[in-house]
Amino acid sequence: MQQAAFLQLVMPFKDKVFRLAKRLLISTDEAEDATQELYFKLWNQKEKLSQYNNIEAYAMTMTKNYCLDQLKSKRADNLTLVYSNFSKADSSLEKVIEFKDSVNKVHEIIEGLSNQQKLIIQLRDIEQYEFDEIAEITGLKETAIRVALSRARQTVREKLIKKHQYGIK
Amino acid sequence: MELNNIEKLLEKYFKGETSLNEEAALRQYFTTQKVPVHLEPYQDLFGYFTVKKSEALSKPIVLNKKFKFSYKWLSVAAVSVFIIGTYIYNNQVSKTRYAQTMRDYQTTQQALDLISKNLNKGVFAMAQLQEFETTKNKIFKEDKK
Repeated sequence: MQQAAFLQLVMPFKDKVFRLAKRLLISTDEAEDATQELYFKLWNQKEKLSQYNNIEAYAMTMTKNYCLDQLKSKRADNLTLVYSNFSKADSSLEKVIEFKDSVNKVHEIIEGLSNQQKLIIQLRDIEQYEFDEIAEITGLKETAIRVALSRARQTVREKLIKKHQYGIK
Repeated sequence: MELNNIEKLLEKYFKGETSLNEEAALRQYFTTQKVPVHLEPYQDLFGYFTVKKSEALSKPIVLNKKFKFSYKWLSVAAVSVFIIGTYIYNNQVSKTRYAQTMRDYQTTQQALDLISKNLNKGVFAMAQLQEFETTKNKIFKEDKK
């Protein structure tokens, strides 16, 4: 496969890959590195790519697995510093948008969810994938996804309302 | 959309039963309109999703990276330089040591040569002395008793 054809195939979802990586790895720097790594992997197996009928879902699965592996090895190394420095890594423009109070509030709540819940929220509520696509990416059954999604949304709702009431009082 | 409808849709949303279209309608509603106070928390939620969806990768992707600098490889390089260095150093040391030994060996051999030459001189002189003895014996017959 030529580079141009490859790029045409994989570039349309580069932001989705990045956003998923950022959702799981939290820091922008690490998400950028992960995206780079993933595209390098895709490029190395470019001959095999035509076998997959949904390359985007395949790439998202790889991203998910890669990030979860990264988190696992990080936990093994006890490197949790990343969580505290993520706010500094962002560009100033992003800061303005991201750290507007309300957005930040929701961000914190979603940050507190489990990895699986974060993953499903990201895929459904932000990337707007259909349930069968999410099933393909995560390897979970659609019913399980709906249950996990509902639980995640309920948790976010409760915490959000609590925060909101706190803000009013 | 009517408020009643929105509230129904919200309940459906939290049960995980809304379709993508319905979720789009919720996002649309919460991000474009002024909402009643009791729905304000959801404005944050759907606003957040919209903001996050627009986030983009800001670094260009490099496909033909042959070598990515990392401290892991730097340490590997450092260790191999150290090992090779030690090996070469030891080699060098043993070579000079060998040369030194060779020199010592040769000097010793020369010294031994010199000694043996001198010794040979002595042997020669002794041989002459022996000649002297036989001549003397010819002249002075000794009494055999």
